[in-house]
Amino acid sequence: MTTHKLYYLYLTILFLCSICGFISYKHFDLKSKILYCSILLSLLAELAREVLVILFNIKAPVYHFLCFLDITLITIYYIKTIKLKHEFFFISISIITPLALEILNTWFFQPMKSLNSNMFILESFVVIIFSLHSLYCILLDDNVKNPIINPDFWFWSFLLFMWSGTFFFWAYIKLIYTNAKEYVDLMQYIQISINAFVYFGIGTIFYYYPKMIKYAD
Amino acid sequence: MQINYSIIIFILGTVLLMFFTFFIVIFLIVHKKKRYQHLLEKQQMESTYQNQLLQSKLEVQEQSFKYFSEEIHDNVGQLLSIVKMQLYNIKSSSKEQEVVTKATDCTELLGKAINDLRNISHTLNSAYISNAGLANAIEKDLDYVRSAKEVKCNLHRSGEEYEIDDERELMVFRIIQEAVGNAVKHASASVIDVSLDYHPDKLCVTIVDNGKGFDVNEHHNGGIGLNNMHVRTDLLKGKIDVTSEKDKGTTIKLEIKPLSLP
Repeated sequence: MTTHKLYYLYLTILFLCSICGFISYKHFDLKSKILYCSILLSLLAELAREVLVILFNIKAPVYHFLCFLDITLITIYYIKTIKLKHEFFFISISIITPLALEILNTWFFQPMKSLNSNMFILESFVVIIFSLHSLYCILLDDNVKNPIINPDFWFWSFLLFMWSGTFFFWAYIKLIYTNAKEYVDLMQYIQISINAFVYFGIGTIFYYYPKMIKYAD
Repeated sequence: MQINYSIIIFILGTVLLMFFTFFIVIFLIVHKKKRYQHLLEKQQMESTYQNQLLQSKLEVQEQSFKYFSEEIHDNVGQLLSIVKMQLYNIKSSSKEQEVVTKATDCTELLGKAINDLRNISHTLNSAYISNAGLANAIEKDLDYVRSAKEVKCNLHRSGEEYEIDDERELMVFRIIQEAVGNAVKHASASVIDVSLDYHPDKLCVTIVDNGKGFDVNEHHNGGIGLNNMHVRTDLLKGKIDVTSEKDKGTTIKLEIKPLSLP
């Protein structure tokens, strides 16, 4: 399968994942709704990218907006998960910091027309650290007897899988694009496959979310 | 050369991180499963220990009841019987009418006291309850309540009666005794109805009184009597339901399976 076909398969999976989330949306708690918004944002960004490619033959600006919004949403999702004491303060930080870093990154390092891989590396760090912390909390929490029926456990696991799997992609993408274009397809193949797998997993959890909640009760 | 290294680092790093994630997820699932099983085993052991402790406590209580029963029957009962005989002798030998009348009254009262004491002695004695059977023992206890407290007590039986083992029979009897005692002492009931419904798969006991009732939520963990009823029901692996409303009386429903204790 070519990278292009794989990308469209990934888009289809992302769309189906959004549909599954929409079906179970009324059963979601607040943090799951935030995660669902993040998934919708990814879908919208991918669609906007397609439009930009067709109209102007550029795609990077979409990721500049997507990345800082995604970091904000994911951080709020984890703040809600961890149940921090000064929630409002941390939510404010999670909005201001990515925005400030995005502006600085665009201004000094990676302008609008180039891919903002630095921000994706930051997002990888944020998601990996928060996911590990959340999984550690579940390890200590005796109230969680069976993590298999806990939707949050699967969300954290899939997010950890996606962002640890694509961490090196974002770290090396600039270098490979500039110096070894023959490997770009391989890297994209790996990245898209991981993303497709993760969105398939999250979509499945979205679909079974009401049953899992009912069973856990 | 540097590019090749970068590609190797990219692939190795990606594989390692994904393997690390996979390992964490699997470890967490397995660890949680083991921990849950360990917690279940711990809870079961604690429950077994608590049951043994409660059983020992009730055995000690039964031994005390037996001791009191024997003391009442062999010591106090005998002494009162001698007093009754002496009074009878006084009545026979005396020629004064006033003495005869008073001795006759005292003999009658003493006779009633001896009878009541015998009833108490019987209902405290586990061996008597086993020999008499559940229904007869309850009838005996209700007889005593009727005569001593002037309370209207009724025992209703339905279904085909069957025997249950002595240990369970004694516990059911103690629950009924406690409920009747509470109705008389605390609720000032004037009517108490006890029903024994023998179903093939379960024995249902219902105790209804018309006393002043109480707030079940307030007394759920407080009263020793109610607590003992719950403890005994747990040991019987049965179900007990206490419903009560102020000034509307109390209903206690007990359900046990007519099987032997494990």
